Amino acid sequence: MDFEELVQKAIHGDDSAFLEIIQAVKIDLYKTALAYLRNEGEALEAIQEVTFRAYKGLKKLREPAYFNTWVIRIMINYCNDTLKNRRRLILNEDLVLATEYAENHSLMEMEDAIQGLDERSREIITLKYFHDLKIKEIALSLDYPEGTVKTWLHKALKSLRSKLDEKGGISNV
Amino acid sequence: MFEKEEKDLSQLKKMYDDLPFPEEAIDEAIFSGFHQAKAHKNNPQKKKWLLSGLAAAVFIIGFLTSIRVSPVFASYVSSIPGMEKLVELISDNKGLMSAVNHEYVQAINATQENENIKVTLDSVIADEKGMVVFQTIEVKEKQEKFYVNDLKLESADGTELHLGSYSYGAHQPHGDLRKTEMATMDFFFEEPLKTKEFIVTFTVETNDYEEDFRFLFTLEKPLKATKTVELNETVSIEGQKITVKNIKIYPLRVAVHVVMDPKNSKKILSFDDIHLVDENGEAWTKIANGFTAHFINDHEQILYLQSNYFKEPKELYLAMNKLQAVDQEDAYVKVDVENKKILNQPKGNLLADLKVENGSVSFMLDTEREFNYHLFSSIRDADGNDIEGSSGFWTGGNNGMKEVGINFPQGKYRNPLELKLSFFPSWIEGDVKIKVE
Repeated sequence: MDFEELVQKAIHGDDSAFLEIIQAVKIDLYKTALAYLRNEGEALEAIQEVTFRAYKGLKKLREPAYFNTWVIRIMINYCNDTLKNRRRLILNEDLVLATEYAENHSLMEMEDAIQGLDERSREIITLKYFHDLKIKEIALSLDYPEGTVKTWLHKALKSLRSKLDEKGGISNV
Repeated sequence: MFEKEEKDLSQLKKMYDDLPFPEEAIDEAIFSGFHQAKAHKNNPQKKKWLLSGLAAAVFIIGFLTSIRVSPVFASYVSSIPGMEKLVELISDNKGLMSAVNHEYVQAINATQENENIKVTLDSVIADEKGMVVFQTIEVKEKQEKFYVNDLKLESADGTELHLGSYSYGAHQPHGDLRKTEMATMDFFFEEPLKTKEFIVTFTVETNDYEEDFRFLFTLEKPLKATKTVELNETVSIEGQKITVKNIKIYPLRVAVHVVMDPKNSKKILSFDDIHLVDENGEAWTKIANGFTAHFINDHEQILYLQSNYFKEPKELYLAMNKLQAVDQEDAYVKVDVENKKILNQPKGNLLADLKVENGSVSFMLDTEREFNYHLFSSIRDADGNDIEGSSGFWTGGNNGMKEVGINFPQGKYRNPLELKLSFFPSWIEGDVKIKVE
């Protein structure tokens, strides 16, 4: 059975199909949560909440083929809400550790820059570069014309660059 | 142009991809989220489309496309602020249009503005047994989804309301991206209203926002008295006896109480064509958008028609022409789920291609013309015990073929299972007219 059929079954209330499709995206969900929230405990909490919301909301999914993007967007919305409520940054030890592995130290700056983006820009960047979605797929899932999404992406990259330049400027002093 | 940024981003992604992830903890989180959702699902207080109270009310949702009104009416309407929008919402209901025309609508004009969502209760039409509240939802950023959840109505002074059924109907709950949405909230009561002050609370959910609202409003206009006509008249259509007990005429709707003779050879599922007609041939048909019937039991139901309250006809008749009906012994579709066989179905073998899975039974339904109804209302096991928590579904097909079925909780049930028909494309026809006035 292909994935879309599985999603269709889940929409019709088949619980085992639902668990199967969530299994298929769990790593994507976890990593999105980790990138946004930078904390394993909170990322796990996010998984729980997003599973809940996905199950409750599945009937509203219009097109089974968009399930992945749809559920990742639920995660992004949840993370945005959590960040808003939190309003403070918690650095995760794992991440600091991981960043040390990374040869390129600018990745950490990149992370901070992404963190500083507005919600829309961050969502576009996450979908495009973390989930390797095409502009067309993002446009379909957000229900905006491709042109608009391209403009947003351009704007997002531009503000990312200016944030990195700011940082670079400081460290060069 | 942004090659460097893009390269860094893909490196960042790779870093995340290489991070170890706590698979067991993730699975645990998924399971607890899933179980929470299941527990929540069984809690009837939280439903998207709120249908409560009446065990088996029939609710039809239609979406409005265009409106046509007479010039005189249009000019009256445009003299009241906000009224054009209201009229668009009720244009498929003659009774409500007529209530507006007779100035039996009352302005509320209460607004609550939260962080992202603003809601205005525009106006209300009320009678002794019901209330239709019109509202407008506005958001700053365009949204495509507008839901009203957890709708609750209470009296301000604590008087019990005896709420029978209530529903929320948006113009288009899903639709294009837009900043405003109009909707109606319908409330119907089992006992006549004894209070005038109400508190309504609900949550508005859009794609990006979810905010709570609470309004207090008062019915200032006196409520029009209900007109009751006792009939107790029995008619026969293709040999099936139907008694019309009475007709109650409210400003919001007309309630026709019908009782079927238990000795009838056929079970009547639905009154497709029943209407009031006056001496000039003007007709008031079934409500197209909202509650259309209330089932008291298998032989007795109340049908709701558009209201002619504000008309004073010289003569008024109740007419019935076309009814969905199946032979009594075919009121249930019987399925042997072990051997995957249909044991019994109405004549004509319209149901075929049985599919049985744990938790669902479905068929292909073959109809000449479009037939957009849920076929099954409930399911029971061989011992006659209803399986709780079932829900019917259908998926559109072409050439008159579509998949219809019912989902139910997985488990062991005594074979064979019986699916109760609520609608079926099989009709009896006649030409019955009862004098009402």
